[in-house]
Amino acid sequence: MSDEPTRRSKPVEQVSLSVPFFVAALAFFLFTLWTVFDEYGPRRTWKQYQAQFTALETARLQKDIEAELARLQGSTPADPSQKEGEQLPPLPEIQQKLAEARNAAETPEFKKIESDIQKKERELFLATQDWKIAKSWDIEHAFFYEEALKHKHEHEIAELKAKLDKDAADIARTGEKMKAVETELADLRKQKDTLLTEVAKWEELEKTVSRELLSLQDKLARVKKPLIVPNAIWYDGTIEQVVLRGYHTNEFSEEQYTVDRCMTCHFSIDKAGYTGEDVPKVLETHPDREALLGKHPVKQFACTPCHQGQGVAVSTTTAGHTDLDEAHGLLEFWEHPVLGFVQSGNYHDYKEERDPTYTQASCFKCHSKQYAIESPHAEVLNAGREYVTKLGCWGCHNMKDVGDGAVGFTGKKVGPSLARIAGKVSADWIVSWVDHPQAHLPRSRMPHYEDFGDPAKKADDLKGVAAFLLSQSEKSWPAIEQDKRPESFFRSGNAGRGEKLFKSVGCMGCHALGERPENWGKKDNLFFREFDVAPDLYNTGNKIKSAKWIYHWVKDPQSYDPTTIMPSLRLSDQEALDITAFLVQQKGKDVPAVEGLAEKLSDPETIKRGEWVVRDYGCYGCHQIKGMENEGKLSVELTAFGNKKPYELAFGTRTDVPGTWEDWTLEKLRNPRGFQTERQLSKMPSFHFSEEGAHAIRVLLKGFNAEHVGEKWLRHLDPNAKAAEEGRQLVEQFNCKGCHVVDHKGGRILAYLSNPQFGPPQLNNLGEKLQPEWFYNFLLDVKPVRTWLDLRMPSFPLDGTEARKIVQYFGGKAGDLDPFTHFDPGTIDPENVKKGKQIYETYRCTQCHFNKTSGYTEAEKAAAAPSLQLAHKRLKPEWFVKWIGSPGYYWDGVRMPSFFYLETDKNGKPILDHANQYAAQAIPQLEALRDFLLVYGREGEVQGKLGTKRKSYSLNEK
Amino acid sequence: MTLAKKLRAPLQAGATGAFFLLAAAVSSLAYEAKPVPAGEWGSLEGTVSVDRPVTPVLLPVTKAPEICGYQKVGGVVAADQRLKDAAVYLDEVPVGKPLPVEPVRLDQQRCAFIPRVFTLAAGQPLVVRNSDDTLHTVRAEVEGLTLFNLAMPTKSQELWKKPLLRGSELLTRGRVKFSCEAGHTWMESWAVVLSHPYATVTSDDGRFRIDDVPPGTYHMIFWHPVLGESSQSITLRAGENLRVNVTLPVPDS
Repeated sequence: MSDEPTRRSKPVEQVSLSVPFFVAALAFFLFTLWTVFDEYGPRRTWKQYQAQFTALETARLQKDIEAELARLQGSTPADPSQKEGEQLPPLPEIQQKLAEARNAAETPEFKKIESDIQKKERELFLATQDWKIAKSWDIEHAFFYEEALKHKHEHEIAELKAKLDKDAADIARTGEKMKAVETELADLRKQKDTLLTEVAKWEELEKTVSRELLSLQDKLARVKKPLIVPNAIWYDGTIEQVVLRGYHTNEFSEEQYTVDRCMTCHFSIDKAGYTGEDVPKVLETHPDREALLGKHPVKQFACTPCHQGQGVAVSTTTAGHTDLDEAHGLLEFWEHPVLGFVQSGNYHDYKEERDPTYTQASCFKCHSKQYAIESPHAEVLNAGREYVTKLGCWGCHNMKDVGDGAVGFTGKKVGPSLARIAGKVSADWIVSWVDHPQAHLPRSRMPHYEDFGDPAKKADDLKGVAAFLLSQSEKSWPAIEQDKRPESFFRSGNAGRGEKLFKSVGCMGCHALGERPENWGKKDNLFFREFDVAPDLYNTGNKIKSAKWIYHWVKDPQSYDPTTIMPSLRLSDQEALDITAFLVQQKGKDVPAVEGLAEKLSDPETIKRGEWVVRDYGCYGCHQIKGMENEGKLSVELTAFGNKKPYELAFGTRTDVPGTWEDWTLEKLRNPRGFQTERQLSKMPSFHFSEEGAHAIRVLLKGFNAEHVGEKWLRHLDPNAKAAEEGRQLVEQFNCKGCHVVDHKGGRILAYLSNPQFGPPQLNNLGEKLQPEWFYNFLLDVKPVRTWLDLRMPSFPLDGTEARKIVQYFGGKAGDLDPFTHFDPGTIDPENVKKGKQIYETYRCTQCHFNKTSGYTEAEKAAAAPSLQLAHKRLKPEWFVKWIGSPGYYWDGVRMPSFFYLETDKNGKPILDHANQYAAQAIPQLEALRDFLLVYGREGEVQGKLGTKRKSYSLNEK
Repeated sequence: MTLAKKLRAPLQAGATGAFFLLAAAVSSLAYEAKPVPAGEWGSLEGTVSVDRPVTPVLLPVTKAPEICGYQKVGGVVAADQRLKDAAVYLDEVPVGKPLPVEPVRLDQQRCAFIPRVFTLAAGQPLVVRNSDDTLHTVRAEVEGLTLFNLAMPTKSQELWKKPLLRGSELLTRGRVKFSCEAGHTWMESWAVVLSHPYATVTSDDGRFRIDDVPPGTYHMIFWHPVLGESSQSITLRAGENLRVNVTLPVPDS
């Protein structure tokens, strides 16, 4: 073999490279194609949804057009739900109507007009001819006249001048005649047109509908045209987005941008009607779109402010993780994953199980100033807030805008004041109660004593608490001290009468009596969810030390505790004695004597220990305790709790609880000391929430995320709305719903009455009913209207500001925050008053509305209704019309019958509109009654003033 | 065995099953009216008695005796132990004679509802009349829910009530209690509303009769406002005139 390299058979220069070139070019070309395809295809995963939407929309459009076509062509019957005049009538109907109209126009009168027109047209032609001839003569004579002037034919001038004058007269005469005929003709034609209006109308409609049909057919053809390129390829798949500036601000108050592209896939989220089986989930319309998106337009609020998630991301899958979802923020390091996906285990393992109630947490971001959001979509959040407020969580935790930080916080702690407890209960009772309140009252809000793993301490701790509480307490109170009557006197009442009174006067609106565990919660709406608002009094005889105390407490609760919400029922001395005698007998459960307690009570060591326990457990968070008025909050601030990451939560040694915020929070609420370890103790007591309660609180806590939301997005309350919100808290706190049905909820006391007709008035739509001034004065100084009832409206410890807030709360519900009603007798028509009086007599109103305010006989009680003499002071003028029109709508099952059989709309609301035939008949009568009742009872005051101004205010014309 | 034979048994079973399913579906549907075939359907008649002599309760009139009188008869009215005003009806009837269309009249006379107990087929109109020169109100309640509460302030006023509705739906079953809220606490009347027409009320001598009943087995119910409900099962053959006599126990008061 030679070392010389073998020569190639062909020199390099001569080798053809066309094949590699071709292959390379082909590859390049294919890559280009693939790039374009990939860019417009697989990379745009959202495109499929938009294509789906287009297909769906096309199908729906085609269906709609076909339906409308069929209707206009008269092949399907008209939709009866559509009112006449709202849509075009079908063509056959128009043609029929047109023919009818034409027939109807063929009257002798019409024929005469037509022949007259023909005659007049001829006449006009002749008259025009005459006028034209006169004009021609005039031109000819003028020419000769000018010629004669020019050639100075003196003899002709005068003659021609005369002719010209005659011509002018002829023109004027014939012209006038022509005008006259013209006017007559125009008049006739007008008459003819009037007769033909109906015909013209239908002709016009025929044209419109024919045009509409053509255009619909055209549209249908376009919709049906097969696509040359399928949608999925044709669409470039634009990214839809909403950009908000300043919804978020950062720690330095700099505006941030929120970019939400959710609608790129959720393409029809803000388009009505995308529900049903044929619509894929991603394309569904937002639930309750009108209400939710109506108030929060997508352009203004975007999506992530409520739902969270990663707004800018448009990909729902990431390579390698089929369930890792960028757009919904289900990623390890995304801090705000979409609300409602229940997390379990870790961030890579989201359950597909959804709980949409979590989304309500977001309402709190902007609506935190409202005690309750009146929407069915915020009920869980509202419940959470009610729990946290009424259970007094705020006694230990700081929470922005909740509890003592809320708008309208009343300053009252949730537990009773312990400043004068020494006169009320014994030391034995304190020990037994603090040890386990639920053993006395299963639905008590007070948590029970829990030791820190050393039961031996318990007995000493409890003795200490009793000793300390008694030592800090005032030994007596002025009302007791000033009353020198002996204890035996206060036991001398008639217990039988007391029982009757207790059960009928209204105590049962808040208190239960002997509803031991087996009876708890049998009646709906009894209490505040699963808790009491006031104690069950089955054991009062064992609990309260002295009858004298009970007597003074029921007579005037505020004399013992100025902060208590217990109202006065204006009991007479005898009534208070009777009730005291009855309550003293209530001994449902023995209170065991505690061994060795008596001598410990004055022991300074024990008192000191008690003080330490009380301070350490934070009893002052809910109770007023002397010397602890200025203590801070015992526990952590929760304002940003919703933001906590699982690694920030102390799981202790627990491994059975999944490592998520949701699971930790639920477990903490159910079993507050479940996470404690030997070194890290928990003090939070158990509140025994129901499952729903724990979840509701969890949703509220999720809302505590301390986000910096821009001013523009926050729900601000104007002074009136703020007052109304404060009023709502008062209505809740004073438990008005214990007796009254408010907005169709509440009325616990009705369950104890033999006849619900003897219950208190229902307060649905109260703001529409009462004159604010009267209502305000009534709250401050209760003078019952329904004096025939055994029940009494209590006198609540309200000051003027609080009363005003309650009035504004009800007024705000009716959309009327105006605190004054203006009565001007001048605007009342005296004729209407007379008519009203007649109706009042015909309808025999006095058969139930007796003309008295007290002293009802037993027989009268069965039918009694408020005296109408009071009506003008109490009721708003519009209320007479609404109420008399249909009492049953405003008060379920009311005794007052309806005299006018008004129709109701689909929500059951009575229709009071002149357009409705029943209402049109009823309204004048109702207004007459109103005017009569506005005057009734103050005839002297309005003497001679009636009807001096414009006619009285009428419905539907404001 | 041929294929056809092999298939026959399961097919038959299937057909029978389908038939039963269909029958069950039909029976759960509303009442179906048919013309009465002559002689094929039967009738029910009998007497309702009470097990011991009773005297009616006399309710005192507490309001307007010049219009209402001084006493009203209430409680259990049973002369010779034969019970008046007991409703007698069949529990569920899927098919039968046409529903009555003529209105039922309820009169308020001298502050008492007449009749005290009556029956009403679903959809049958009700006319309420006030024969007194005073205000009456007619409240109709079903299980504590007020259907309507209408005023009748003038004498001889008649109120054409369309068929009874519960909300916006036709009331097809239930006992409707009528009362007056104008202080006439003793006034009371009851209507037994059913989806079919096989119902009646006993006469003064406790007798009742129900005609044109398709043969079959029925649950027969006897109900009285004071004595409550009792029932018994009956089987009616084609063309039969079945006698049913019952005795209701009067509880110790």
